Amino acid sequence: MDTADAEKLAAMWTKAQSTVAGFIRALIPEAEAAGDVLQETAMVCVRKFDTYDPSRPFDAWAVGIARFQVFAWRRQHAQQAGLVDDETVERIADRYEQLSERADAIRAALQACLGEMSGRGRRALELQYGHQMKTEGIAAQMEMTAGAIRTLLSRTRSALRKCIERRLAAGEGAS
Amino acid sequence: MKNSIPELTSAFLSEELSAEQVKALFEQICSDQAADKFVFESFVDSELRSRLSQEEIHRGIVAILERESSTDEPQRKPRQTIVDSVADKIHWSRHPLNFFATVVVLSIGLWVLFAALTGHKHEQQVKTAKKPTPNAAEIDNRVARIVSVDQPRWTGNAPVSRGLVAGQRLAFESGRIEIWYQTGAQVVIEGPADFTVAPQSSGESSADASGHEPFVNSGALHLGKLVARVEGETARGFAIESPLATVVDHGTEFAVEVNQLGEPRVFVFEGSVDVTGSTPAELHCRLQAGQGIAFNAAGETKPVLEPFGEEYITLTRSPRKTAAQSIVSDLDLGLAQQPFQSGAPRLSDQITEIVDSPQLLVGLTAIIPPRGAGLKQPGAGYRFQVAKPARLYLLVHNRGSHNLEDWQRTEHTITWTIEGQTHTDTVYTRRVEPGEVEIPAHSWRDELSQFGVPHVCLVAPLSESSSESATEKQN
Repeated sequence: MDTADAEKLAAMWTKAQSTVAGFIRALIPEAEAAGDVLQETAMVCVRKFDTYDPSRPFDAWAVGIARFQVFAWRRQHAQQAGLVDDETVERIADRYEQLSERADAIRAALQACLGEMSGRGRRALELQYGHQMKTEGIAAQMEMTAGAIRTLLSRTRSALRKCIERRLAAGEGAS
Repeated sequence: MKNSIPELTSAFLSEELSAEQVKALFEQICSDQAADKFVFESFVDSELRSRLSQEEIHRGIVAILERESSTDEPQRKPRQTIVDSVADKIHWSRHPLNFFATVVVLSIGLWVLFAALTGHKHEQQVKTAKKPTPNAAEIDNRVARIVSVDQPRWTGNAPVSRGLVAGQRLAFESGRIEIWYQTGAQVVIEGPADFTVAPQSSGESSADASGHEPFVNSGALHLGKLVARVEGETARGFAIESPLATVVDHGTEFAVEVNQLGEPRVFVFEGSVDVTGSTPAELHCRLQAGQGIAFNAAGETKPVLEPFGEEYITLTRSPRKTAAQSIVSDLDLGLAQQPFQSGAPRLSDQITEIVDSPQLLVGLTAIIPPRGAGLKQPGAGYRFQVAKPARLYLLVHNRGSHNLEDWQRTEHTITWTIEGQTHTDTVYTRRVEPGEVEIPAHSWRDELSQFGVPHVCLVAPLSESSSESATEKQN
């Protein structure tokens, strides 16, 4: 791999990393193991980059590689992997690969929807996802009860989901 | 609402579901429509973590810059104050190396670039005697592992997993991390720090008495403070590079600090180290316990009389390890000794990793043997001395129908990996009195006539009048 290719890969991986991470985390219950599989996936992407077809979305290609790594992990860790049956994992992997073809549009819609959000709902999301805080910690920080935080987060995520779907349906995702 | 797939998915990704709830969630995903909901939520969840983490980082950096520009005080002290204030403002998770926290805080794009440009050279450096499969090669690239963290605030690329590869840079503004090399060397680093695991330039490697390729056994401290603890033959020769000097250990415990000007100082707590300076050129000295040396950018050196970094040493030793180490002596050549836990090596001369172990055994001192003669010979036995009564736990490779006289078989098992393959051990136990301990050979074979690897022995000290501890009662 020459330097130009390496730079191209670095840029594409930077953008796709959260998509790949989401895929792996969805299928591997242990966070630490998921981290290891993500690292292995990144390394395989480096080695196989010369097989990447630039006409395809990079996210989908990287998720395809992650899929092999996830299944390799499942074979090696049958006990932990046993929580989820192979058929369900196959189904999820198929659907995730399909969704990753539209990753750019969904990301753009999410960004736009986040930009529209403010107030306590946005703050709760920041604490949960930006600070990795649990419900109790968010409740203490925002001086609310844990139950109220759960409700707030649930409503906020629901609103965010609907906003993204609305934008995607209207073809605004990429705007 | 809590039972809807999106809500359950969100809880699952936040690790708030029990195993049963996880199973129930996946049982609901029995159609493409249900899978789509799960997948969409997973995607959005990951994106949210990525975006919102990056926003917090930007806020933190802006806060630091604003505060730094508004103070006229000397740099070092206010810097800590600023970090503290930002830490108060930004309450980071206390969950060490949370998957998403480590994955998304900063992109690993540059790391990928680095790996792409250096991967071939690196593979050559860390390959094992047997040519690895592609999957094994990926695993074998890990020359060290993060074993504990204390709220590091990453300023460079956050590691994407606990496994660390040669050349990987660890830069953090505050907090501490502890890493163990495959060789057995242990390092605690305190931020602000900038550390490179096994820099490509060093070429340092561990002693290798077994004919195998050597392991990478060095680090470079560009900024910050560390304490290194080096025990066992495979760890001996561990080297720390700094901008003006390189420290090579001879089985010891020492501290290195590098200031903002790149000026290092070294202090030895136990054993001895060789220090080689680049300024002044060709300065070479051996420091013994209680000695230290400081370099400055002008090419001057002076002795360090006051120890520093002592407070971190405790981090490299669990209480159980300290107690056990004081009673174990006269180890045969090639045996490594280090605390037992996930991430520890299973063999002292090959890249192996304990991946799953009973909590009961974590923190005990592990005596880790080399593989030795190979598959066609029994895994060798070995001897050592214990100064006090102890309970031993023997990890016996599940190869052949093993049965050990004088040892009691437990229900516990250990899982470990080598070159991408998973193996299990059965745990045996016995009590021993002070004196020589003889660990038997692994002399059982599988259907392919391959012998198992030598046993690992874990040592749990008992009091003299012991009726044994809670540890034994659990058996």
